[in-house]
Amino acid sequence: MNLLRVKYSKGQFKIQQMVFVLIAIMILFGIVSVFFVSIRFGSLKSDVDDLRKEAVFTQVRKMTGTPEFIWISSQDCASCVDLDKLLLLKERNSYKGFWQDISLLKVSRVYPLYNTDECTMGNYPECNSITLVNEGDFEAYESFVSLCRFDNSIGQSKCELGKIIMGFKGVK
Amino acid sequence: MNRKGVDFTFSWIFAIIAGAVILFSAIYITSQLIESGNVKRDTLVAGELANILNPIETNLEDNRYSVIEFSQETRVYNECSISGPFGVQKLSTSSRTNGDWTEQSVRKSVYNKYIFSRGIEETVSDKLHVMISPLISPFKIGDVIMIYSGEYCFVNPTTYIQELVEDISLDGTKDIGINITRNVNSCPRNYTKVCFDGRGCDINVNTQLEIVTKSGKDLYYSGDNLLLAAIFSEGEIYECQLNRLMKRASELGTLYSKKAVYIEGSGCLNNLVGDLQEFVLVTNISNSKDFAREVVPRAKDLERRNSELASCKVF
Repeated sequence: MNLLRVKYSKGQFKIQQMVFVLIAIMILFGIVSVFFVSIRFGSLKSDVDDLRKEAVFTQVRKMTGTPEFIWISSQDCASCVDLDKLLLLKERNSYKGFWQDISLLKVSRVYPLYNTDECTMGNYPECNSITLVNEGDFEAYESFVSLCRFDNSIGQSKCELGKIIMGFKGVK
Repeated sequence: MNRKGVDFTFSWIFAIIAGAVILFSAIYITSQLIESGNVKRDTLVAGELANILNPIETNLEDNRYSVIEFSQETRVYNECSISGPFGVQKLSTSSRTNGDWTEQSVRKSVYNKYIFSRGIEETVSDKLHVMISPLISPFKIGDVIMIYSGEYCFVNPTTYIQELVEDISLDGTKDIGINITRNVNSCPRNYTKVCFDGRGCDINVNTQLEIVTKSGKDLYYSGDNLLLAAIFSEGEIYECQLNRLMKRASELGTLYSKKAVYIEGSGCLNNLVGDLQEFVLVTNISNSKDFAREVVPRAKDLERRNSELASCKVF
């Protein structure tokens, strides 16, 4: 059997050499870009987390002043929340998505506490909390407020100690 | 034939072409990354701006004033849309880097804020003035957030506005971008002149008819808070934000009418259910004229009737 002897010219060898170098450069570029993109997205994720956290943090203390929460019957109470209004607000579908970047929005009674937790039209006012938004998986912040409502047993308004709980969801 | 010379030329041509491709792609990728970095930074600024406005919103206060300082020259883009149950406020920014404005950032959509300003508000000395007042008609509907830059000259303003400007500027010791004069000729040349019950200014206010005329367009208002909003904002933005506020008034009106029914069932007679339902119907406005003619009289009537209730007010 005769073996065929192939002769490579110097030019062909140089082209091959260049191709290998180019492939090596491309691979290096690829690795660097993957590394860069991962760092970049990591910082973007933390920036978005910070923004969402800040949104909740800045809103939790001002929530009692929003028209949906505010208790206007007594003009001098800045931290009073209208509980009757919140119960009715819970039923409104139009408010879905209204409070952005917030995955938990809830008001809870601190004292006195009743046996039933979540308020409905059936058990109100002998219940402990009204949840307006709950998308799960959140980091929450609280602020103490007064929960006010019209109490028919005494024929006038009544305020009790409660808190607003707001949470934000981090980026996964 | 010189074979060595040909080989050398081919290698060099190949190396030059490959090198040029690599070099240009590297430059292109780097410039794209810098551009996307600028857009990212501006997008974060827009998000921050929306968050910064939260703590300065009103509770039981009448007015609030604040200055927002940026780290560099910035343009704030204010876009308003009436789509959806509450409409949308879209905020974006761009900044000046090396003399050029960067690309407009990604828009941050906000549903519970009403920013009255020009379409593009540019910082002056890296600052923007913010004035916030609640809109109460007849109950609190939202906060009117006025963002402005540059200098305004108010000629013969109403007593309320004069006192407000003196109050927040600490009797003129702090620059809030508003000067008050008695004569239009006393206004500095590059200031935006605002005449109250007079003519010949960039913006003319008729306090009797409650109309602000700017760029040939009439903007109807009610109360001093909306008057300032009409002065500082672009006509289209004013109309859109007012429309959005009325959408929220409609939702709140529905909420209060349900509350009125609920507390009536608990023994608190108020007879406001029908009026609140009628109020909800008139909030469906198409412009500020509808607001002034239809909503305001109903709101005043509701306010009077609610204030007459002794122990159990609805709002």
